[in-house]
Amino acid sequence: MVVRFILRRLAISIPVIFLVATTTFFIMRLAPGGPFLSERAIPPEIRANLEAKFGLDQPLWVQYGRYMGNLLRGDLGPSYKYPERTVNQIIAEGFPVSLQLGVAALAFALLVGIPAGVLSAVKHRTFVDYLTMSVVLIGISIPNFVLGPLLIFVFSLTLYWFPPGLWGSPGQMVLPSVTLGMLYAVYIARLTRAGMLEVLGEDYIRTARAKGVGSFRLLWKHALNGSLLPVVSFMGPAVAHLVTGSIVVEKIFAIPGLGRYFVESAFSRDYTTVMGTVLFYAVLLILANLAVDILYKFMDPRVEYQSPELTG
Amino acid sequence: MAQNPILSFQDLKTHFFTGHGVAKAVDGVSMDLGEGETLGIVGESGSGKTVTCLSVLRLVPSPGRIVGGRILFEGRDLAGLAERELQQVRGKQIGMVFQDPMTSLNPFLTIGDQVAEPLLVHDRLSRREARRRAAELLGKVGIPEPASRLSDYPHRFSGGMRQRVMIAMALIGNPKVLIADEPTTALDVTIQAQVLELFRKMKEEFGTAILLITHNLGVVAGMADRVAVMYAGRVVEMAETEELFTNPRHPYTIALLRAVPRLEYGSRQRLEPIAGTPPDLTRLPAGCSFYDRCPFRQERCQEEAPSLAAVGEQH
Repeated sequence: MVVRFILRRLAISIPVIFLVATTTFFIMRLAPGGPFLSERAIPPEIRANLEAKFGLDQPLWVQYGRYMGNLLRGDLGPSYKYPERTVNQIIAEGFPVSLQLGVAALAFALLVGIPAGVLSAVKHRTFVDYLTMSVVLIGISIPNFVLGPLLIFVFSLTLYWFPPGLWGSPGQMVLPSVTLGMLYAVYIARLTRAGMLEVLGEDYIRTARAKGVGSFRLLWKHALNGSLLPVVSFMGPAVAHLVTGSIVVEKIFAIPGLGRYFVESAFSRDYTTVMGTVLFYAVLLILANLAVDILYKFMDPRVEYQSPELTG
Repeated sequence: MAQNPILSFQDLKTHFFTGHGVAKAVDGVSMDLGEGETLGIVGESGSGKTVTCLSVLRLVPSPGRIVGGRILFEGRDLAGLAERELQQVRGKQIGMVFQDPMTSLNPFLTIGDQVAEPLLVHDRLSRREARRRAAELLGKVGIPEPASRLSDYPHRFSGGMRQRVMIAMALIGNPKVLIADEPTTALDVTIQAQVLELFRKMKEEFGTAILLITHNLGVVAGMADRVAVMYAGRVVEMAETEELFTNPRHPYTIALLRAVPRLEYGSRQRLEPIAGTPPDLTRLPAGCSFYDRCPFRQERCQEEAPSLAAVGEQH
């Protein structure tokens, strides 16, 4: 069942990837400028040579055909801006770092967000609830380009607890993960709180209490699963977004991740790098959503893989 | 009053503190449930039947709370019991069946886990033994092939089957009292009859005293030894079932009985609805709360509420 479900979903995503590739390809070409048109003027002959080298002098549909052909073999082509490096190499170098950062940020978001949300819901309309929700509001309001330097100032430059930047040691992961994960943590806290409040009002919670179930078992066994479903739905896009890196956090903490390539390649019209990162993001998004759907099915027994009308 | 009451309400008051004032959902209810007896509680929506029975295990939702009176169970006052001690009573001494079996079972847990849970929580049985007992009881309440259905989730059961599961869940701790809040209201008529039959059978087998809340006089007539009629948070009349149906005393009871269709009426006889609407529980009048709708009202009803007077030995 599960295998068939996964195979079917992957089959459906092939045309999606194709569409994303095509759209990105032509939109990039519609944008004015090109990879070899910068402020620093390059002699026209050299530019012509460069364009000839990368095949940019060919008609557009030839370029498109060639790109898609390479794509089928998993070749994302050479970068126009980072000479001697292919887009595959750029992703292979940057992604592991971004993945680590993203997973750490996600872990922080879940470990802080879920307990905070549960606590807030259980202590609904008490001081604890109001305090938690105030912190959440502050967390939503502070952008990460403010939070990052703030954390560096407090925990690196004043308290000397964590290094202020670079990547490698576990200590270096703390501040960037918190900076990147904060917005997700507070969002998850709100989703969990709302989900938990709804579930706690359900009839089946009253049934459990009528059976003599204690408050810990009530929350853990009867309420948590249902109240986390909104969080699980949110996780799909959140995971894809987190693990592909953030240019802001990478800049602040000098982390060699993937995030900066998204922005820089678009500005410099580095066609292949833009295509590569966008496609990579699309694939991750599809995989993350697939994982979330499987997790959802695992958490909610009412969800069937196919033909729900056949049950009963 | 019942001999050897096992559960005894003494001037119970459960009020809801809402934004519009205090709704006196239950306002001075006194009644006894005898050992092994079935006591029916009837009344229209909002008369306080459900809140009365939720008060027993203190499951009244916020902003409601018990503000006065006692609920004696085997000599202990449940209204004043510590939460931890009350947990020992819930599901073990007193079981409860709720109105809507579609929403009262946890959709995320298997039937086996839910039915066996009281045994795990109260008797500390092993999971295997608890599930074995759950399967046994599920068989008794009429679930076919119970052992193989333990791992099924509630959405694979029909409404009637789910109510059977609820009943098994309420009975598995072998409680002395079973509180059933409108157990058949959400079910089809044919299923209703089956479930009521199951109640009768279970009562015979387990000897459980049943507090049966319903607005269906037919259910009461077939099931209850005695009946308490509730109106606006009070018990207005209480009698043995036969006595109540043949010789009702309170105007509300009379009106209630007249609103029930009967075979001997013939097609020309009109059913008599009760005039007016139920009173606002936040602004009950000083005297009898049925005054506005009562066909027999007198001057003095406005000042004082009639008290329960003994008419017969059990009335």
